[in-house]
Amino acid sequence: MAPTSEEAVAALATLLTVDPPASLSQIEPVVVTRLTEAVAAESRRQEQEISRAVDDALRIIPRPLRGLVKKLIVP
Amino acid sequence: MSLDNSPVQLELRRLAHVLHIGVEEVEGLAPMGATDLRVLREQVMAKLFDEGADSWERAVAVSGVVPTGLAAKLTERALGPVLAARVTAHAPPEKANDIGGKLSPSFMADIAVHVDPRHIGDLAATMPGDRVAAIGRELAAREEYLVMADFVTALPEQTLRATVEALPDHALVLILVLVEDPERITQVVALLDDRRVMALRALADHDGLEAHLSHITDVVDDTQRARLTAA
Repeated sequence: MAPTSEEAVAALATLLTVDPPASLSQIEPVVVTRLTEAVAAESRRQEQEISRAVDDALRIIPRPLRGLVKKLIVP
Repeated sequence: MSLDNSPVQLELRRLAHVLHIGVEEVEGLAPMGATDLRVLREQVMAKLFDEGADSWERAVAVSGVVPTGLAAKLTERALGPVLAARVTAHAPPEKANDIGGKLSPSFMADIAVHVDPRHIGDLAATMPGDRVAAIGRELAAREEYLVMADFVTALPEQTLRATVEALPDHALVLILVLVEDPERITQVVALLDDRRVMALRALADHDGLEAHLSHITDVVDDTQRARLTAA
């Protein structure tokens, strides 16, 4: 079942951890849901990209120190 | 053909750029208006870029005790552009630019594409003109016009001149239509000599940039409009 406007806005607010502008409630719920999905997808994409970059960066660190360095810089 | 460069359309493009999606996927948000779209975009950027800020600040602290030359080598060879962009956003601009001065323009352009757009102004303001110009050429070659528009908006005047001189004519037009502040567009056009203004006018006829030139002509002040429209 398609979400109501309130549900769609609430889902975005949960993801952003902040209340979006009130004018978002005038927008079609399907558009808001698509935005929420796009933000979640980009967040996942960035996490994967950072994780891959960290692994690449750690290759130049001597193996015994990698865990410590990773703990230091990985969010 | 008309060019929709209204504040709403520019905000939608910026939101789509941040999310790496096509602008058509966010066009349904247009009724929110430019002001609320900007607030929403800032909330989205906070979600995407502020998570784990303390970790990046620790990484900056580590880079602070490493000599600049070594930090630059490690940045380019080990961190890569994605991590470097995150660390850069949390570094003091002077420190970021010390290291950035030793990186290749190509790698700096990679960082510029990945960096949190909210920090571009601080970084650009302290960067030497020739560096920004070299990075600008790289970004223009990659058609990263929105990123360049943010740079052009934020640059101090002496750096702006060097950057504008370095950009190809068609790239300059495609960047200027994405700059939101009409005063800044006027300042950029004022920096162009008459030969370059003529070259821009010629683009309208030969490169299909008529609508873009028309938009620029509409928003600049009377003096620059007269130069852009002179026969």
